[in-house]
Amino acid sequence: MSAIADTCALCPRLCRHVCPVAVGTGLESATPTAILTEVMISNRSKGEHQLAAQAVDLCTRCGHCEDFCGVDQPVVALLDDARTRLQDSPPAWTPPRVQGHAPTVAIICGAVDWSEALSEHTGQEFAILKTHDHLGEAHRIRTDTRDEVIALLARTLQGRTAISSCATCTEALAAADITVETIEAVSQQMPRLPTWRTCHCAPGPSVDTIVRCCGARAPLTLQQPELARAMSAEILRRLDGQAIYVPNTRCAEHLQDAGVQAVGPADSIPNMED
Amino acid sequence: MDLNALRQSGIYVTDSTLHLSAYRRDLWPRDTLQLLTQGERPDLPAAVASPTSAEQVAACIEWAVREGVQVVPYGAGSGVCGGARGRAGSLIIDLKRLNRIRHIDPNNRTVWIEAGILGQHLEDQLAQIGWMTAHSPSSIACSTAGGYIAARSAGQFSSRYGVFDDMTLAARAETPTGRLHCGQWTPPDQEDLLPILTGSEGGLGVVTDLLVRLQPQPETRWLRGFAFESTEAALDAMRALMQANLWPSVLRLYDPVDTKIGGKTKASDAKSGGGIFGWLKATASKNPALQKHLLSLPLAMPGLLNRIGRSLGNEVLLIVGFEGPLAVVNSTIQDAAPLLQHGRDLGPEPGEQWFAHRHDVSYKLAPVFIAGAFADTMEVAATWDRLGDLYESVRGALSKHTAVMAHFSHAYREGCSIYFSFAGRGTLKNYDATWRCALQAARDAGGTVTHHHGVGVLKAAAAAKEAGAALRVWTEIKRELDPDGLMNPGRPFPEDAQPDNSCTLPAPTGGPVFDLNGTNLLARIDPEADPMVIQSALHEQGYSLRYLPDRPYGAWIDKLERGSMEVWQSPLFGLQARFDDGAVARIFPAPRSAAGPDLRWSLNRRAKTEWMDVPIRPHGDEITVSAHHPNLDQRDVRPVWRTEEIWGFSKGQRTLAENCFLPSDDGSPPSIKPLVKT
Repeated sequence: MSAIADTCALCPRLCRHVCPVAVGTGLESATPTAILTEVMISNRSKGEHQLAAQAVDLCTRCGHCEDFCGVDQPVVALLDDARTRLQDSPPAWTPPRVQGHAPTVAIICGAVDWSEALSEHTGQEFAILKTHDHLGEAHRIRTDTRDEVIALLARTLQGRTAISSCATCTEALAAADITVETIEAVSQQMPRLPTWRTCHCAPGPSVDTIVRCCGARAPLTLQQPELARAMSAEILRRLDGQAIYVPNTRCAEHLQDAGVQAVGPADSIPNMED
Repeated sequence: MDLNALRQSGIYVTDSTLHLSAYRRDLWPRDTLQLLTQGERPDLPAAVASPTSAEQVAACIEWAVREGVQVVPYGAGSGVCGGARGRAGSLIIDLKRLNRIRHIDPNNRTVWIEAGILGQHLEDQLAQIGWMTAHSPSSIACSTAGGYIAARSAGQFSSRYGVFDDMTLAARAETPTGRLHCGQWTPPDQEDLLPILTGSEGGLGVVTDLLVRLQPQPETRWLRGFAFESTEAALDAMRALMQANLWPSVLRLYDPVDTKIGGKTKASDAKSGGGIFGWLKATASKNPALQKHLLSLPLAMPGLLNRIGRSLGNEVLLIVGFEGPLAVVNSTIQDAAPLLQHGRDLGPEPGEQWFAHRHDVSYKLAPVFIAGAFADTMEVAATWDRLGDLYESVRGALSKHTAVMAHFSHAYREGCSIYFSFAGRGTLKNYDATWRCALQAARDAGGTVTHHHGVGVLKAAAAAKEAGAALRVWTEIKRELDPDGLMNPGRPFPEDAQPDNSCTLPAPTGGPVFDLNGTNLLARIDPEADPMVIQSALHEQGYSLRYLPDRPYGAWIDKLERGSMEVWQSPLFGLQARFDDGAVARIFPAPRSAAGPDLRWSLNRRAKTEWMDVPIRPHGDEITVSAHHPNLDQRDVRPVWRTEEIWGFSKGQRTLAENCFLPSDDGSPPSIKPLVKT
């Protein structure tokens, strides 16, 4: 992996303009090139690992750098690999308990529990899984603990369908081969607002094509919350008061915290206000 | 150092080593080499500030002056000469959060932008509404508008749209002594310092805002490759195209080595590679086990490698491109055809390949460094009559130490730039020796040492030599704006640089035209002479002044507002001026240079100008056409001159003059007639 990492470290930062952390914070240190420079130096030296261990967390793993790269560098995998090598392992992950026996499970990962409103709107009963760490996100960004989390998740939700409003959780569920539906699909409600395309939304028309990730995801939001907030503040500045629809609860909440008039998937469920 | 005082202004400031570490260097290959070979990086700065407004930039500078801290402005760090390299204990002002488009004026074709906007973001946003700046450097994804003006950047379409100097109409900067407005924003009672701010590399202040020309997105783009039997034949064609006022958007001539080894006539992409870096990479990748040796062996014997390259033949590839309104492009192509008749038409593929992959070259650097070598580029420029010597001289110097190839691009009516790509053994000793020889060779051959990469640390001493006694102008203005010398010290000129006052050449005699160069279409004139007298003298030799001012040239230039000229109009080239103590400053006529600021305008105001090199054109060459063409803008058509009623074209633009206009309201064709020779 080290020769491949060096290719990024020696590149003239050609992907910097698509990196949402580099653009949103303006910091040179957040460019994939700068991060992998620290990794390269760490790989080549015996003792200097501290900076690299911190630098690999200046990322939201959105993968835009990979999409843009002209030489197909696997940047996210390089950073996950470096994180695993350079940082201590976290304590083992315990999966959250599913409450209820309904075949469809509402994955509640944010501040608002939307399951009751959705149940009222659709007349369908849901089991609930509340997660405070987006289904082991911190474990899934490492190569040594990722598979175990996915396996535990698969066992926990075996045979059930999930409803998720968050791209981070959806990603984990999909990796565990769990069928996932979105709130929009179940409720058949979609607000009439311009859509802010976050990093893991399907491509489509958007209100801004420059900062495509709001900073809500790990590792950045866990390790550098101040910079994650700087990213949402930058989006607030760019939107200049415009209201938007964000098809991702986690991102919507992150942007709302910054003062953005953001409407998330849960907000469009009828009776949600009640 | 009280950083909290700075934070209290609402500015994001960090002194975390995690962040500071990334600001130690820009993309100067020497620093990369030092990191790889010795594990060393330049010193850490003390702090990084990320202002979001010009007022916050001013607060940063005010704080730095109060604390006695040196300031390094930082855009996106894509400079290849060390211009934005961090300094120990300095405050880095990172401008990337100063990134808004403030105002678009379609009528005047201008856009007001903040200096920290990335080039790609600017173009993406402008493209959505049908505009562009047309500034497209290969670093567009990783460079900022502020960097373009600081280091005098040139884009790949500069032959039509000019370099960033030409595109910039106004600038605002924060300096230790206050806010500076330049160009069209200059207050009526102040000297316009835009030329001196241009290329100052942060040495005077921090540029915060720019007013830049806009161009409409081209309706059509035409690209084609032509094979010529020799470099000289192709250069003749390039010169002819430029001097016929056809304004190609692309003129790129690959030298014989680049044509053959680079495979420019074949498909080339980032993964398979093209150019010297791609060729070395491809050679090595055929046998990964021997990768290091396959690279190091030829690079240990660059002379042999270069001889092999040259033995492959003299044929060269020229890529020609035109863009703009369909009617203009179609007509221009017909006008260009006779000038390209000595080239073998290779069809559109070479041009379209180049266009599709024009930013890919940067991907090819990493494998060269990984294999233990270094790769770098050098861009020089000269007038047409010195271009061949400049090419041979610099190529010869580089060949002693590295494998080298080149292309000619950024063409002007008066000359052209040469872009050398080279790779050599990855030692600092070899790197330094290569550059020492190449810079000296460029100077010896009468070229400028840098056309568009700026100066930085790498070329600071060479730029100071090139400025000669004119360095006094810089020193004087620097002292006024930055009295404590805190702004990016040592760039673009060394801190201890002294003006070379040894030149005491006598004033020329025999004016008003001292010299005339038909190859470069330049005349050396008396700046105090009546322009009509100069015109008469030129007519006798078959030429006319390209611009006929209403007062002597020296006084005209003194008052000329750069923005009043169109992007393709450059009224002044070289000049010689004498200071009161007799020292003579000479700025020779490279068509464009990035060797520090453009000192000519301020020099003309501060010393007695003895001659000026100004543009001329063949006399009696004109075709005039009625100017009533509601669907065409003269900025897209580019007549040689115009009045309210008439547009004047050169004979070389005949088809353009005849065909590109719509009939007038009564259906009659536009009137075309040769101008009566006077």
